Amino acid sequence: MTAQELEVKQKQEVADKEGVRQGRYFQPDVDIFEDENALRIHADVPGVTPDRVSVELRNDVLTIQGEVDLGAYDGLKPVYAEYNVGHYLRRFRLPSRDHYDPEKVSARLDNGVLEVELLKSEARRPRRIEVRAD
Amino acid sequence: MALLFDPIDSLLRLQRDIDRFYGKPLVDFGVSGPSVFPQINVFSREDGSFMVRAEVPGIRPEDVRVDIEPGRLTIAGERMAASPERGGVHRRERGHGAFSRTLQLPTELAVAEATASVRNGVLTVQIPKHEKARPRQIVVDAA
Repeated sequence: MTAQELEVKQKQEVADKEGVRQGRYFQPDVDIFEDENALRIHADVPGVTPDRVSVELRNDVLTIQGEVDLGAYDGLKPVYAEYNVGHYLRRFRLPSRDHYDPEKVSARLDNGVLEVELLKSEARRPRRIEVRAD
Repeated sequence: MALLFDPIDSLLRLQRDIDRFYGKPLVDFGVSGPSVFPQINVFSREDGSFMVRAEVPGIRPEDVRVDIEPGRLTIAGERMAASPERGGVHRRERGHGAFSRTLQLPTELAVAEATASVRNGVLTVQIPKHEKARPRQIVVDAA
């Protein structure tokens, strides 16, 4: 066990709902990593089922969205509540200096964490130039 | 036209119901408030059984420990930090570390029959009501 204690973060509701979505949307917490080949985003989306996830890259804007499965709440009455249940939505503007190929975006769901990987276009990857000794 | 099952409508109803019970327990769970990980919701069913839910994304089922005894439920575990093999970190919002949380349960629950599962990052503990505590109809003899 590490000494660090896991702290609670309150869910942040998404403000821009564009007027078409119903129900509440919350902003998932994310970790974002980058290396020379790819950008990787891990987002906490507990309760989202694999068939209700969408990941879209359009004009440098990445949108991740996940919907919770409500079937699991049928016939239940809350008697005590600390968190609200809702869908997840978050958008990221990717740096335009990097070009990510929309065809090379992959995503997987692992224990309530959405893992998105965006591969950088070949041309934008740093490459090592071999120095030949003549 | 009214649908038999409208997921959006049931979501709105669920959220409304949750709002109504925010931090105001019908049953005293002896909880120390919503500042301890993981946050919990408690639901009841018509048959008197209870369901305790907690969001534990990124924690594998084998890394969650659920201990139950009469009147007491403890949820403990640890969430590991995700680290890139190489490269840099732009943003780190997802917390990591150890957690442990205990709540008091109504004594009429049959803790021996409780079950727990973690699915899609949500922990669900189902605790049925004690057989003896269930209401039953008494047959009236026509003597």
